[in-house]
Amino acid sequence: MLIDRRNLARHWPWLVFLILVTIAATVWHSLSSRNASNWPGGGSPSGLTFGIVGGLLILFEFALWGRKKVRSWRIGRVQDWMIAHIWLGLLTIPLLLLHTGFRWGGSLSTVLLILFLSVIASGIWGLILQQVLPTRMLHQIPAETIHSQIDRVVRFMIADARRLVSTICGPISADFLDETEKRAILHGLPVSHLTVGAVQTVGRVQGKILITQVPHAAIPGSEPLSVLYLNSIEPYLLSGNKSQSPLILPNKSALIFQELKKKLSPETHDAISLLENLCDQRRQLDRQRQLHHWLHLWLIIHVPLSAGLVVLMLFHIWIALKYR
Amino acid sequence: MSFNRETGKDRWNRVPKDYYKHRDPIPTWKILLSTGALVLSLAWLSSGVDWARPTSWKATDRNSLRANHGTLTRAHSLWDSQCDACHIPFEPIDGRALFSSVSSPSSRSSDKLCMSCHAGPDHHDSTIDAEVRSCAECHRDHQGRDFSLVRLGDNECTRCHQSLEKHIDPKRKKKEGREAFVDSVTAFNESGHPPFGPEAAELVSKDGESLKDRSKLKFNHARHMSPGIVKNPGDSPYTYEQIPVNEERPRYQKWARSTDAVQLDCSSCHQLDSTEIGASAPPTMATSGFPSRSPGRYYLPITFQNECRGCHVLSFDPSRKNLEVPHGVQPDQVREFLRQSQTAQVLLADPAILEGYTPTSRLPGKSPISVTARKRLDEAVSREMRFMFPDDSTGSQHQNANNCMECHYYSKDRIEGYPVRVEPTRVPEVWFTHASFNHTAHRGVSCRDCHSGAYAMSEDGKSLNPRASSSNVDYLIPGISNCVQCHAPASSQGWFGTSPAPVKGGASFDCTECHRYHNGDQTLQGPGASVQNAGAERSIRQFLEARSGRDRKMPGQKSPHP
Repeated sequence: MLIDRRNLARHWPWLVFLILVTIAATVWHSLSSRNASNWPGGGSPSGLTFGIVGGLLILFEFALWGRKKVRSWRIGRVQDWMIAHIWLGLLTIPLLLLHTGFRWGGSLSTVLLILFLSVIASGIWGLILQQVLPTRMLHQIPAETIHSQIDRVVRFMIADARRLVSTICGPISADFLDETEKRAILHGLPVSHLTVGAVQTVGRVQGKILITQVPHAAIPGSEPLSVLYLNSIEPYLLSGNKSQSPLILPNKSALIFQELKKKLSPETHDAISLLENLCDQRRQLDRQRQLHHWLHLWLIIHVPLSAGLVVLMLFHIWIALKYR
Repeated sequence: MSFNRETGKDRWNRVPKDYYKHRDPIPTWKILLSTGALVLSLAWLSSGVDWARPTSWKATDRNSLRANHGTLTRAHSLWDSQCDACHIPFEPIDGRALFSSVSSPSSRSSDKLCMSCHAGPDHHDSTIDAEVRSCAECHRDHQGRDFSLVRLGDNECTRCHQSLEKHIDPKRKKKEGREAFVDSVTAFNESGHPPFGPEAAELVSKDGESLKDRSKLKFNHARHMSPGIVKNPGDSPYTYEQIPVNEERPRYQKWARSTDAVQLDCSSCHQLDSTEIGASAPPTMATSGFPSRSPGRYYLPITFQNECRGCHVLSFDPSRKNLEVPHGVQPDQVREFLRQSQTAQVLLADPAILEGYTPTSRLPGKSPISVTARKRLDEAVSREMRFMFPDDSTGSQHQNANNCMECHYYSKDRIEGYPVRVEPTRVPEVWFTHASFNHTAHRGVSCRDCHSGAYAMSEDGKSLNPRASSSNVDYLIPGISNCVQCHAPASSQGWFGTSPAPVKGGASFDCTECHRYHNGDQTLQGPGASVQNAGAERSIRQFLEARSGRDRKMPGQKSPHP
């Protein structure tokens, strides 16, 4: 969840609440421990209160998973749940640390505390990433698409590129497309217009546009383009960063396409620019995949650890009640 | 040809409408790993259970018990895996726990488990029962192997002792005179703690420094520590060769010459109870009754036989130096001893008395023995009694140091000119019976720094000590002001050592440093020792399995918290 100026007003009350509760809890616990040899433990009046409140908060935190899964639940907006999840999760830190009496305890308590701290750390890490990465993606990846559809979009990019090269250099096989894609893209070839998705920047505004060109007859002497396409451009579009292509690097890519333009007639330059733009989009999609992983992979740590934390916490409560 | 032109809608259709139904790898992994975490948690928990006895944890897994909230202290480590050894399930072990009643019977049940091994005396007869709700209220385990269950925080003591009146049952409160406890104790410092007041001292003023030794023994430390033990300036010094008991001489003389003036030090008389007795004790010292494994906290009691007799030998007849009046008896017994001794002397001097005619029946006005002998006997006994019990009121100051008055007070009543009774001394073996002190722990500090009044000379050995005691009633045990030089919060020399103030404090100063609630530091010694035996008698197996054994009732034993 992005916390910025626009929604800061909704976070202020939570921050104040967190600070006040933390101060109150610390004062109460400190007064309980005055002249004591140790901090009061989880069984002391203050420690047990913090344990109960902290435990209930953890259960609430875990309920966010259910709220997200069962969208038909109308118990508050998910955004409100998310705000409460963040701030109440942070509130559990002072409460449960005071509950421990700053001791690790036995193995169950130790594992529980390590799990708790790991869940909190992963949650804070996720929150930090969510403040940084979406903004970065907005600025760095104008060609952003749905993450799960990147491979499919890439195949369409290749189809666009093949059609473009075919119109200039002569027919290139479209065998790599499945039947559906062939129907969608190659339907009615020869086409009257070539439409290629491109990214364009005007001033501070950038975004995806469609560039339409009227195809013309094959241009003689354009073989270097088809050679470069088949040897470098298409493998790169297909595999992205996994390929060994020099097109991975933007500077080298620009140099290669510049050299190509020098070799070929000016009539091919628009098509070459479009190919260069497709390569650039491919680079952005690779970057999007990378940032997407950073944005979501922390959940692979946060959620399973939370599940383990809840199980062990319930057991801890049972043992504490039985042998208090 | 426009139908061949790819429209925006065509391109939009490139992404299938149901794309979200195809699972992304990240959510899939999330679910897989969450399931794995659940299974792993349950497996980890169940791996700690002893399935042969599902209510117990694996005994072989002591240090990593799943349910254990913390490692037990070393003394309880036997029962790491047996929660039921101390806990009653679903009942709070701590009577003060949240949501437990003030006087919960369940907490008493747990207390019974504690007391099956740790019986103990009441802290105080007049304590209100509800104020002490359970053992676990103060003694909280599960805090590590090396955690001390008896080194409690000051708050456990001051919650009552800072306003004691509120916590004492007025019906059971006794008028205890000088033993009565001060109403408010808040910390160990001169303002928060009352002055030390040992029973053997008489409180003269409230500052605690002007106490009077009322142990009824005429002994002046400073005089005995002066070179040559001179009574008045100009007197000839007492030399080692003048020590009358030959076998005691080397103990005091050490490496000095026989003609040197006697110079005693603390160790001349005071020996720790941990001293390697066989190796260093004087040959005349009676050692058979000493404990062999004493901790060395206290000094052995001073006895006449061990420490005084070397110089103050109770011989009364210069012609019979080996004959000594027994010590520790009253005047009538001394008189009897002297009579017997003189009778034997008279008979030895005039054996004819035994050969003379002695009528079988008593003749009026006649003695069974000769009148002359009887007169000689009475005179000799009288002379020796005067020697042993000189009349101080006549001003006939005795010139020897071997009579009873040298060290003892008499009763004022006299029969035939001799005191009826010698006042018994009251030198305590332990001065502070409500606190503990460890001399061995303080062995790194000079005796003089705490007992300066005992020294006749200053530390340089040349000038007189201005604080030397001048009387046997001077009280030489230091007060709190001396203790807090070390036993106080540490004060450093400022952040960068720039402050001229000396470093002070740093040694622990909590209540339990000196006091024990149940006198538990020496379980079977001191006050309450008779009721500190275990409440139950068990076999080794019963002990290991924390099973109850046969109740053991000791004389006078009762529950610490009835």
